[in-house]
Amino acid sequence: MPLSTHAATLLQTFRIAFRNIFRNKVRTTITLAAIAFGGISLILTGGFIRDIFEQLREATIHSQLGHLQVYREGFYEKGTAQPFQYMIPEPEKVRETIVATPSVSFVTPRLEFSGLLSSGETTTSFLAQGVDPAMEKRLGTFVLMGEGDYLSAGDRYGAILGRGLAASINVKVGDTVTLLTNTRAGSINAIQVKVRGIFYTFYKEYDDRALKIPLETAQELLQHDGIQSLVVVLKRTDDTEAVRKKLAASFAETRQPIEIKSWTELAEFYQKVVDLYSRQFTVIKVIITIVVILSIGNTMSMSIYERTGEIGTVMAIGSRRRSVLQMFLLEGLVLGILGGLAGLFLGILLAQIISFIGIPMPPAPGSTVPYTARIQVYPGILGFALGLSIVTSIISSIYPSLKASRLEIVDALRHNV
Amino acid sequence: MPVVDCQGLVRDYALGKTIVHALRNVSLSVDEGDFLAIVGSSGSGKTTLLNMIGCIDTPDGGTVSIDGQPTGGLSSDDLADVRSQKIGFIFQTFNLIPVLSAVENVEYPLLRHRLSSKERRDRALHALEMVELGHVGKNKPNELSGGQRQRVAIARALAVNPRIVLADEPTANLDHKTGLNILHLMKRINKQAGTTFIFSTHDPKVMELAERLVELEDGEITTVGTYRRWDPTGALAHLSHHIDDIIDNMFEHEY
Repeated sequence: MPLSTHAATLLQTFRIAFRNIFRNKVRTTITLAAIAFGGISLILTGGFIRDIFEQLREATIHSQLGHLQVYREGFYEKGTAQPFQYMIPEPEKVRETIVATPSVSFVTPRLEFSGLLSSGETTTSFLAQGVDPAMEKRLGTFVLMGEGDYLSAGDRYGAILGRGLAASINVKVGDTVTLLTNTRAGSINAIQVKVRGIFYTFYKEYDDRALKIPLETAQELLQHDGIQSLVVVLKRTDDTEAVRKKLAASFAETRQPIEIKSWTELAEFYQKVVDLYSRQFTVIKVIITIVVILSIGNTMSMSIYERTGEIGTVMAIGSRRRSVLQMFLLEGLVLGILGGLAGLFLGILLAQIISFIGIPMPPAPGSTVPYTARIQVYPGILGFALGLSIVTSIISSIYPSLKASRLEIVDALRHNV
Repeated sequence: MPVVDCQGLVRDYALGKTIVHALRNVSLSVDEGDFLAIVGSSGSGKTTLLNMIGCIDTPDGGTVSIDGQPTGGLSSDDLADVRSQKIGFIFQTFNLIPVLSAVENVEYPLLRHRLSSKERRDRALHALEMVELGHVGKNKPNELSGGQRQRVAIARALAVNPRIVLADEPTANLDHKTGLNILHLMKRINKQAGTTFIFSTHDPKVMELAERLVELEDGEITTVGTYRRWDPTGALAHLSHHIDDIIDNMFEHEY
């Protein structure tokens, strides 16, 4: 047959498929609703999970981690036991290299140490960060002040304490506390600081141990003027991996003994949450796929049963079995496309409405802060929802269509048209 | 050369545990231009024989040749091609595709032919005009009367210029007058275009129009001949033709 004949046949088959879909309006509506429901569920669930991921990600980055952390080589593995052995060499040079890299927003230095915190009779252990107050404040947009104020630049002997830490030794804003730690030389040194504020983040575990003091104060206490890490904040989270590679290449080129960790490597909790939710989402996808397959399979089977006589007729007047198969597969395809598009439209609309209202969420595991979730509509989930609708529609049409195309003509003709 | 040649056709069906012998050794030749009626009571094997000739069922024994071509051993696609090129079907229940308009229904079998869309539409319209339904081409089957639907079905059968038109009880679902009209229409096309018609019926009044009758009983041919009543003077035959003319005139515009 020439191409035009094939095209004409396909067009007519398509026309028949399309018109047949609207022959039984109630059934078609129910089927389309089932497919659209699948698409809507995917968009809403996917968008909701995406929002949780993103909020958690930003909270993780902007509570403490930044996008990248730059250390002296070996610090990540051995630095905790021998902090003074792994100070960044020539920190100013390293900082310049980082700042010169495109996409970098700013860099802030840190000196971390642990020790004992005393107030009156009570003593507890802490994990402190000596920080640049102004820069650290820019980084810590998810570090929220429960009481008092953040560290200020000129306030050398001020400190802010995590909420859990403050509660454990019962101190308030305005109280004086003593920090006790080992110096580089191995002796013990202590310093008194005034509590300026009490902060909390997304991570309760962190708030239970953390305190922040100005970098110079920390250096004075430790009797060492180095820093252990430079925390890099980027303009866009998506650039993390690219910048990490670029920096690694720069340091390798200048032979500086520097290692870089990205927030994804450091954020164990975030990774666990992503794994958990992604699994759950997979289960939801499987359930939706089954619902769509069953609903279209059912529609096609009923439609084919009703049209047995018609199938016999078209085969008697010369249609090949393949055309019959094609006709019903096309019906499945058209149902899938229509249902999928309806799902997209309604999914996006509902996502907007829900996001406008907001979903009040309880604190995440390990956190003390409730938050408002939204639905993030993103191209990936839209493509997936539409694709799933279409692919499952075709898959579920295969068996009934094959059955139709294998009918014996004389048997099929006994059913009235 | 006969346009249809059946030799020693045998067809058995299993109906539960019993075997039904639908055709037992049936041989039949049909010449080009024949207007042949297959008659017999229900279950006599009429439909089975038509199905064999129409290549939609295969015999358990014997052979069928259409237009000199033996159909035994052809694949399902090849049989579909034989049907699409050489055979027109008319069914008792009209069997139009409900979602297609009259003209689209007539076009449907033409999709398998090498034609441009204009040629296809022209041929469909011409076929509809032959059955005097040029004016209802856009109507869907459910907007047509029973007689009109059957005429669309005839147009669909004729559109492909078939070698044979097979009609299984074409008038059984129509009232007597409409049925006769359909038969007259088929006969007129048979005379004008020379198309071979083979139809089954158990209505004696319909049989009168046939030029040749094949009577089946229990899957065997019992009589082959023409339908004749006892009419020594020929007066009844004369009257019969006269009545045919009157009916033709009466219903010409009421199909």
